[in-house]
Amino acid sequence: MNDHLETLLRSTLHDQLDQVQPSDELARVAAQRGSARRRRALVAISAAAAAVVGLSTAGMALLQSLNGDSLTASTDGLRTAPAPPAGQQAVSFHGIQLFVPSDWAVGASSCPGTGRPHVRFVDGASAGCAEAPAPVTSVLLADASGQAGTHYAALATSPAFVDGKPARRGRGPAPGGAPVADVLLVPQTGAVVVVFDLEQAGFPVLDSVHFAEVDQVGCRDQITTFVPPAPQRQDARTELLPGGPVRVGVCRYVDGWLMRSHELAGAEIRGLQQLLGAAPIDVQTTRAGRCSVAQAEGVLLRAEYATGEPVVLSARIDGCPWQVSNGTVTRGLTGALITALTDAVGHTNSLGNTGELPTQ
Amino acid sequence: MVSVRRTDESFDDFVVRTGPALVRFGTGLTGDRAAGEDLAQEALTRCWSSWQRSSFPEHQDAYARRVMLRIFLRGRERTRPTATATDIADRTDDPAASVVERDLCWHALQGLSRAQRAVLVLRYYEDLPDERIADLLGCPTSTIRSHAARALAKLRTLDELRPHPGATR
Repeated sequence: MNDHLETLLRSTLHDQLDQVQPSDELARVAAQRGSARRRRALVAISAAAAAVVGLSTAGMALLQSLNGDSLTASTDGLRTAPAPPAGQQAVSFHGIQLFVPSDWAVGASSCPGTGRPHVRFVDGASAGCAEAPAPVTSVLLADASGQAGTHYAALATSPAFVDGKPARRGRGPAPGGAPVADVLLVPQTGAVVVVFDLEQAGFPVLDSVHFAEVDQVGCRDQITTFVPPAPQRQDARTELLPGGPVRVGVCRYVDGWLMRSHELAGAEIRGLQQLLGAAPIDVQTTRAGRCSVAQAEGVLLRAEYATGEPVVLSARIDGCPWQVSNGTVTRGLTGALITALTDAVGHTNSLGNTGELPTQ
Repeated sequence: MVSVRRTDESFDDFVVRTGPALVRFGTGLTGDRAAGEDLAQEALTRCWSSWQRSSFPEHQDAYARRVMLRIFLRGRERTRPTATATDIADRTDDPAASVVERDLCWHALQGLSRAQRAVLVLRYYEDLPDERIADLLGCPTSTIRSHAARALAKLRTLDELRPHPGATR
């Protein structure tokens, strides 16, 4: 418990916090409460009047935050990712976004081909191929706490900034000695961006890195729970995913951070709806002893409709438990469903139990 | 941190007694004094509602912290500390290496997820055992240990926070 870092944490927190004092504003809270107590009757009348004229937007937001959580809370006011310039596509990873040319391949759950420039993720989704640099221009996205991320993060030794926040840049060899890579470490989110510009394409990938609280697909950068609130839509109280969504985004989270996101195309949406419709009513419960040590990993699916509230489905893909839910309707999670949910957003399979997934 | 409500204590007294600690706690969570005070103030406002209904729990300090954590972890607190080029330059020029190191550590804390940050603040500033942290956050103790382990692992990847000869604390 008493290693260097823990000692440093204690001294840092006490150094930063011990001298903090509340302003007079906080003291006024008590005074206002006292006044409010004396004016209780007046407050009651005001509250009744407010109820008649309807809740304000802020009031609605507050109620939403009290009753729900970040899965469906309004994203108004959050820093939404800018749209990519013409001819480019946005890639989300670990709280950041970056732009790459539209014709680059963005690695899915299999090793990308080496014939054209591409983006790879070192998050387990491309196990076995992610750390070996391909002989073409490519971008590698890694978590700074992982093995590859640690190696590249150590190369980033020069001060830099991302959206005004401190970061580090550097240049050095990949494991094994070559090729040379340009590296950007974003300490705020733990993301490491590595560019192997073998073709010297000169595309400014590192310069395009930016923070986004909501990405292009509509996924929040961080969540604190996989439990969705009860849906507002009437039809979502009987159906897992009501028909007719106009936009469906899949967001994959590991330990609370957005790792990958993807907007489903029409055929993908229809296929997913079929699988959800066939999901078993019997829900397999959590296997005791496995979940407690696993990192939280799961997928949120956000379906927007032409009218009415969106519907959010959540599915933990680490077996804790094997079920998909919209907050009211819950069904069993089948292997085919997991594949459909995670195909475009990777799957670290942190428990190593793909072979044990329940099947239909 | 835990105290039983004093039957003769008014809400005003409660704010005066607990306010400074709550603001420090909020600052630890958010990484920003103003945001920390906003968080404490919002929590106190909600506590006031419970106080009025005479449903304010016995362990009032812990309850106030639990309310703060709930607000914080739901992501309603969106302020993130920003560092300017001048800030960094000032820090780098500081002759006391330990001060720079603590400053870097403070900023590195802001790079963790909200849940990880909350666990570290409760463990290393409030000196709470993991069982009490689990109670406050409403999750299993194993989850707390997992959050702490992953947070520490992430911080250990930062070169600036590794021990170096001559560092004093």
